[in-house]
Amino acid sequence: MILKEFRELRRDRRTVAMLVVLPLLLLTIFGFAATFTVDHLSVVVVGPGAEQAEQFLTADVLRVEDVRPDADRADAVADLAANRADLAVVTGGSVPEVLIDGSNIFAAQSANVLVAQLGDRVDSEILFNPGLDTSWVMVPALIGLILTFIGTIITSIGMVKERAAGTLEQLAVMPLRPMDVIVGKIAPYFLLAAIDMVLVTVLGRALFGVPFRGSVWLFALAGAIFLFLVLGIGVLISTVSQNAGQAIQTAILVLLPQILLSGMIFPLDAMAGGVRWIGYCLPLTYFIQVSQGVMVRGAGLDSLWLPLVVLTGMAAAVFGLAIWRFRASITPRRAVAR
Amino acid sequence: MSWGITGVALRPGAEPIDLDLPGGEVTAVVGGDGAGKTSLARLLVGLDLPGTGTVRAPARGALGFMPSGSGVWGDLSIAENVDLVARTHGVRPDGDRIRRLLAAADLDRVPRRLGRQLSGGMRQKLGFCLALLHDPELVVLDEPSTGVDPVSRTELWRMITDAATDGTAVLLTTTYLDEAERAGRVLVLDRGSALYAGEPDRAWTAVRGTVREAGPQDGDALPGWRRGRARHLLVPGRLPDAPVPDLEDTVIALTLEHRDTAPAAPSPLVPVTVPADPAIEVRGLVTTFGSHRAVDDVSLTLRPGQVIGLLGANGAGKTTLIRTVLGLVAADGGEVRVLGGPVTREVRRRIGYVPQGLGLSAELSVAENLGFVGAVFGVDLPVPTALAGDRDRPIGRLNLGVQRRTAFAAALGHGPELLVLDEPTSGVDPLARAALWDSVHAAADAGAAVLVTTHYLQEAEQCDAVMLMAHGRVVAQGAPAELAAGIEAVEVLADDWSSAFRTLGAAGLPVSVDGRRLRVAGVPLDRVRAVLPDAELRPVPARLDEVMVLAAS
Repeated sequence: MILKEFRELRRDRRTVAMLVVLPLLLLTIFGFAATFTVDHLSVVVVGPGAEQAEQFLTADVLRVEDVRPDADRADAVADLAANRADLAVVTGGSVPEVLIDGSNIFAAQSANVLVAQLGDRVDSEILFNPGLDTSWVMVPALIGLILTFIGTIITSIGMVKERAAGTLEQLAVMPLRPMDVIVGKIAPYFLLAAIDMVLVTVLGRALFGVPFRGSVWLFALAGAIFLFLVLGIGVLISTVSQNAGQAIQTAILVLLPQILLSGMIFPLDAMAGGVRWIGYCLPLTYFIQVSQGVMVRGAGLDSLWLPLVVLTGMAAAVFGLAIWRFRASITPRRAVAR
Repeated sequence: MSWGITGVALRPGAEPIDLDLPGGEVTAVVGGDGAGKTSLARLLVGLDLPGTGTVRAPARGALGFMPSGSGVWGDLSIAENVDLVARTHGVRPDGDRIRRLLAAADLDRVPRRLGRQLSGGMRQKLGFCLALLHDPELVVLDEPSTGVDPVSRTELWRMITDAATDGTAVLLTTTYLDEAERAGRVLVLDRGSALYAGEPDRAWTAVRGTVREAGPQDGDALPGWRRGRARHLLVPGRLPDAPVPDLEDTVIALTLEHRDTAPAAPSPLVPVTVPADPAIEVRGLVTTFGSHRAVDDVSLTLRPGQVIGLLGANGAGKTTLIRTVLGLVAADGGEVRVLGGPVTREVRRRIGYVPQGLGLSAELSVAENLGFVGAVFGVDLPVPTALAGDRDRPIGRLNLGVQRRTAFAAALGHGPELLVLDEPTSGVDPLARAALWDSVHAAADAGAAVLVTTHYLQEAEQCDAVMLMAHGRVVAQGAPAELAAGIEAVEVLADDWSSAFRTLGAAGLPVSVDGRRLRVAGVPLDRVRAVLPDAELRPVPARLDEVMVLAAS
């Protein structure tokens, strides 16, 4: 009985993949990535006394990125909103003012400790998330996670069911173009996921008081691009799965790294180099950058164009590949002639 | 124009096939798993393109297709299924034609029932309606009757015939030879090659040798197969006055000649020590699922060396009865004694069971599967010589016939006193079916008691006794020949069979089609005469499927 089970497992590649990938993933993540402590804080220093102020910033964790004597407080706020620094020091007042980006909870907490040590010698203000509320950063990330969940698991199950029931063949024979079938299958999931996105956003605001500072249109644009991406992943999963069980197994393999390595739970900056690069390959990482940027910091297109471009590129590639594979599965193939 | 294929090879290396599908004609394609039935269907509907030759099929708007497994959307209701397909074809879903079609299928009373809630027979009928909604010129049905009970199968055939009388060209694939006999034309496939194409009752003329019953003087040298208690042989050369073989024997003979092989000998058997007691004794058995009585007051006695066949529709209670006997389902009433007592683990050691799903591990090879079962029963299970070529290939990649032989070898290896087989032959070609039955008979000859379910009615003749089940009850039982005794059927020979078919149907008589002849069962000849005064009528013995339909209604 035991031998039989091992033999069977050996031949089931998906299960083997889960058995191998899951422990490795969890180990790497909790070994290298699962750290809440921030080992450095990037700083910008602005104002007339910037150069002198830089001398005081001797703490090891501080890494001064930029010193600009001709810039002012508004520029510093803009730098923080664009996520170019974790904190900013504004000189020129009676005492220097430290501005902390509250949307990066762990960095902000470390910064707060430092500021407290300085006591009265500085003023400080936590921007964007003054209460250092975890929900304010989690809700934007969760929106991405929920979309990923619907896109991959629900879509792939919906597609696989049709294949398993044999009704996909029925559709392929009816007077429909392949594109009709594809659009007809995907559009409802796109719509449902979009409704879910709005619902979670509205509920997040209502229940947790999560702000929405930036442009709704920018957010919607990112959401739409991201939706194409995750639906594409779902369709791709369905083309390599014969039944719902396999689809779910594959979807979990795709989902889990996204949950753990996208910066949603553990800050990406704090991860070891190799693991961080995995994070940079995951679409959810970029969506979270946009959603947190837009909702919490009110960031605009000028600072979020990079993640948006990356998302668009990924979406085009994945969705294109998905359509191509799906199309191939419902159009006639030529039998091998000999 | 006439639809069909010309010079199409169904698989690499196979001989090209020509087939014409004239309008108004039902063509049945028969063959087992891997014969090329589905390949042919997919080529005709344009799901695949031919490597060589041409396919003549109408445009998609004039083409109907029912994939195997019905093509019904399980999460849509009947009305929604119809709506979807009708709109796709640009047809009004409430048009007269569609309403008549649904009424004929008896689907119009429950328009809101979901596809997945339908019984197998209802689902296939709906699938057929969907393929026919837009009045196609050619309709292709891939195994429309597989897994369908004989009653629904008869109704389905009536609808198919109806469509053909409207001028539609119908092609259907099936593993049931009795269905092929009913079709106007038949194409017999084996491993991608055509063994015969033409009228079913002329098929025997394609056999080069002669099929005859074995006598005591015949040794084991000639290729032969079991038909119930008799053994049939294929001898070389055409003997002048040999009786005409039936389609089953014809197809087996054609397959043997085509493959140029002898049927594989059944696996050697461990002799069974025959106990005096019945192997199974069931009295007044009741098994319920909630309020549903799946088995309702069934009694059964099975003696060593006896083969009893359980026949009935899906959901008639066959599998539940078997599972109760095996102790897999608890009985709610009545008495079950297996091999002299209740089913304990010790008793199970003496039982061989082949479930419908075969109970093999798809990812393990033939040898590994047998090794596992052998280890469980504590016996050495060698791979039978007939399976030696496939010993190290995973079961899931082998054809159904080989899978079933492996399951048989696994169930028979420990010399069971009781052999329980749940639909052992569904889906396999006639030759593989004959080989499986040879194994069953060999086990029975060695003293094992055999309980077997099937809904392939022709297999009843392989059993010593059959029990017909419907709605959990036994509706008829006895030796196969006894069952039809006392039930008349009328054969109708009309010049214009399609108009006769309509006239009889309109009069509410249960008419079915047998090639170009019509049959009406369970109705006195006078009543048929009253409807069709000019046709040639003659009384014939009822077939088992007719007995079944009458018993179940």
